[in-house]
Amino acid sequence: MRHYVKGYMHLWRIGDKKENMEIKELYIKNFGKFSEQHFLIQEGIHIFYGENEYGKSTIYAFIKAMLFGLERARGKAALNDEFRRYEPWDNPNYYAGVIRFRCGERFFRLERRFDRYTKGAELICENDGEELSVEQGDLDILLEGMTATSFQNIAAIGQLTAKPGQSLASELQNYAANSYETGSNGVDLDGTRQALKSRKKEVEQKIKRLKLEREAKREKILEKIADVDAEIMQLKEKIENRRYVGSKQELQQEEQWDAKNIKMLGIITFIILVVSLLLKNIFPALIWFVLGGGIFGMQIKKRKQRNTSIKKENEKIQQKIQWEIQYIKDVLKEKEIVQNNLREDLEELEDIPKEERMLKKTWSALELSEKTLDEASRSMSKGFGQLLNEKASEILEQITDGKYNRLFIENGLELVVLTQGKRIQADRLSRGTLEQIYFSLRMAILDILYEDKIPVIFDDAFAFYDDKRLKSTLKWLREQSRQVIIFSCQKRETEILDELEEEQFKSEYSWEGKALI
Amino acid sequence: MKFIHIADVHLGALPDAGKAYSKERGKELWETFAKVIQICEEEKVDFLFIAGDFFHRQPLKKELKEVNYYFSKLSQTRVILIAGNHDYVKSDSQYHNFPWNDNVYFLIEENPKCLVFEDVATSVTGFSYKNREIKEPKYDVIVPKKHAKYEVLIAHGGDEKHIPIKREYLEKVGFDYIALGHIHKPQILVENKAAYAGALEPIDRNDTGKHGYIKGEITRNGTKICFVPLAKREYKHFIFPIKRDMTNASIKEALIKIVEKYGQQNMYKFILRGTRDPEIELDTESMDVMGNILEVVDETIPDYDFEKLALQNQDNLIGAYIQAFEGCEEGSIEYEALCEGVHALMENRR
Repeated sequence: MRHYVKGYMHLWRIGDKKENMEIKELYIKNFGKFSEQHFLIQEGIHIFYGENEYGKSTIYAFIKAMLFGLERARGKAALNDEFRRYEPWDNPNYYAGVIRFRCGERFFRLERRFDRYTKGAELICENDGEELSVEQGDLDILLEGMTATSFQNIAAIGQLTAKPGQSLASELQNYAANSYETGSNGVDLDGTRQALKSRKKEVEQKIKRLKLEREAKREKILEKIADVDAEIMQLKEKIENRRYVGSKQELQQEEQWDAKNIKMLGIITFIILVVSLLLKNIFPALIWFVLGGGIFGMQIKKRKQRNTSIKKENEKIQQKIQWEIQYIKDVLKEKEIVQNNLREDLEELEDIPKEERMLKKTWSALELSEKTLDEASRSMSKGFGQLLNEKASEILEQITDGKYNRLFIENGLELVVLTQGKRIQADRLSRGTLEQIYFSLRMAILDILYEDKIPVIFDDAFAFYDDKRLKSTLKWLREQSRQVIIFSCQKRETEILDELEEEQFKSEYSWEGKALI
Repeated sequence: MKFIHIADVHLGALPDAGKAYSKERGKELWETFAKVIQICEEEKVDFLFIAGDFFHRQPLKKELKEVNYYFSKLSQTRVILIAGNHDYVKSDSQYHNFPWNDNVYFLIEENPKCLVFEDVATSVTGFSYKNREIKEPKYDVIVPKKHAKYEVLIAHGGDEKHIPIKREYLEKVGFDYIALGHIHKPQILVENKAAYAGALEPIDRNDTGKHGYIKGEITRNGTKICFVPLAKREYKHFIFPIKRDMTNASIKEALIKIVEKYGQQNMYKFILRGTRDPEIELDTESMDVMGNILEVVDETIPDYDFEKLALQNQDNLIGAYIQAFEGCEEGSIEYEALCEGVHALMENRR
């Protein structure tokens, strides 16, 4: 195994009060490819130099696992989680390690076992041997409430990488803009907004579907009502029609006295009377009266008989029609009841069901959520954003030797730097400069949130820096009170730090030399 | 004297019975009613009391003819019925002048009427609803008149808008039995003296538990009643405790097991309660596998420790967001907004 570890003292260290946290030693008992391996971490800047496959990411994962534990993912995710990834190659049931660190003036030893059978953690203060409880949150206090994710987001710095199809400049821009509005940049504000929006849409669609279902039910009932209405109309028409037919079908009764016949009889009687008078003989008149009266009487009787049979016939017809009408009326009544019952169904449908009310509540909650998110991010960018602007500008100025002396976000989105009073947009900067802006933002966030209390870890972060910029960056880092751990597959960092140390030594020596003279 | 007491049959209703059973559910009400008739005949009971809401809405004449046919098959049993608030006797109701069978007595008047059946030494008192609502406590003034040895009251209502009835009245009035209708949950109010038969078949999705009829006998030694379950289906509500490690699939499987255990013919509502994995969204709509789950209500709370989260995220948006909802109560819109927002934020952590 080829590796080269070297530590460099921070400038500030001499005579300064130590309040920060510093990792002193990693003792990997069995973790990933390592077993029974000790790494003493130098004060100040510590470099893990190693070629690819050396195990840098394993050491990083080990630090993270030691500080924050190693929770198993559930379900399918467990097949590919960190627990699985760093399960020891040999003897996986022995999966453990020790980390020693200093917080302020006190030294701690934290031992953890990750395997499922002996899983546990012990935290001991080495100064007085006091046993502390990880479960009770003693470690959280030492770590200032930092979590595994925030450690990863804030304290570990890699290269600036872009999502597929996105330029580095726009990625950096997104990162910066999001930082301004979300603070530590732990969350993607745009993504959160989108998530709430699509959730709202989902709820809206559900409400709409329920409404449509209700509407469909209503329509169906209305349709039925319309059908019954039509039937009722038809039945009513039918009744009218029957009545009309009834009045038409009534047979005319013959009149008892036929005027024409009476006239005829009168004329005949008059003629016979005249004839009798002329003949002075009463006999024809007598005969006529007997004969005529008989005929007349017969006629009347016949007519009477005929009229009564017509009357009977008419009554029969009327009765039948009345029956028909009654039957139709009965049907009509049933239909009217059906109609009223349907109306009641319709009324009941007016009540908004509980499910819909609940969804409406969720919708209002989402509205409120969006509003609150906007407010929170606005206040965030006012306070935190401004601070970030200043800090990051300061750092950028120092690591670019004053070339870029100001950086800011315009319109909440566009990242701009100033160089000699000229504005330059991010997309016109070189990759190296973009990386440095990224570095400035990251360090500024770390500073604002945790001051110098937490170590910072760089994972091949400087690959795109030229020698000059790398030197100024490392020089700046040396001047910080924070512990710095660098993982690198290049020797440049080591060489440049050697150079810096030599320069410093020279300057100190020459100063001393002068004084000696 | 032996009797069977039913109520709230709601013939003509189309109860919600889930995807699988809703279509046939209307018919099942008739089928169970037919079963009651059969039981009356087999057990040779003297009376069938129907304590209102026999029909869900205004009955059609053809429906009356239909039930009258069933009644006509009873060789030993007299049927006494009243109209309730659902099938109240409207001015143009088909109940008016319906030619009931000889063994059927419909107490159509809005004032109490007492029928005396000397052969079985029993009198039956009751009246019908003429309106959808009656707010006066009309039963308070009805007392047994001692026209017969055994005295029965048929009553419908018991809530504020439907003839309020005091428990004290039921306890002290002195009828040998009071056959009550209107409340769908079967319950004996006074031991052996007064009971709601409950809906014969459950009608509303909240009519949980067993449904059926009340069987009773009045003798010299007093009244004895018992509830007999008969309904074909039952609405069942379960509170299903959710644990953190559950997923949609595991919940679905568990629900299927419950449905299988408690009968596939029944209709279910599940209320999911407890704390769920915040990263899992419960898809309640996909859980009705067999078509008999009417509702799955998600009342779970995402397993966030908001206080701890706020502490861990003091200086970022998550912390600021949680701060904005400080002190909001569980179940409020604010609390829901807090859960939704934190969920969205946590999903979008970098």
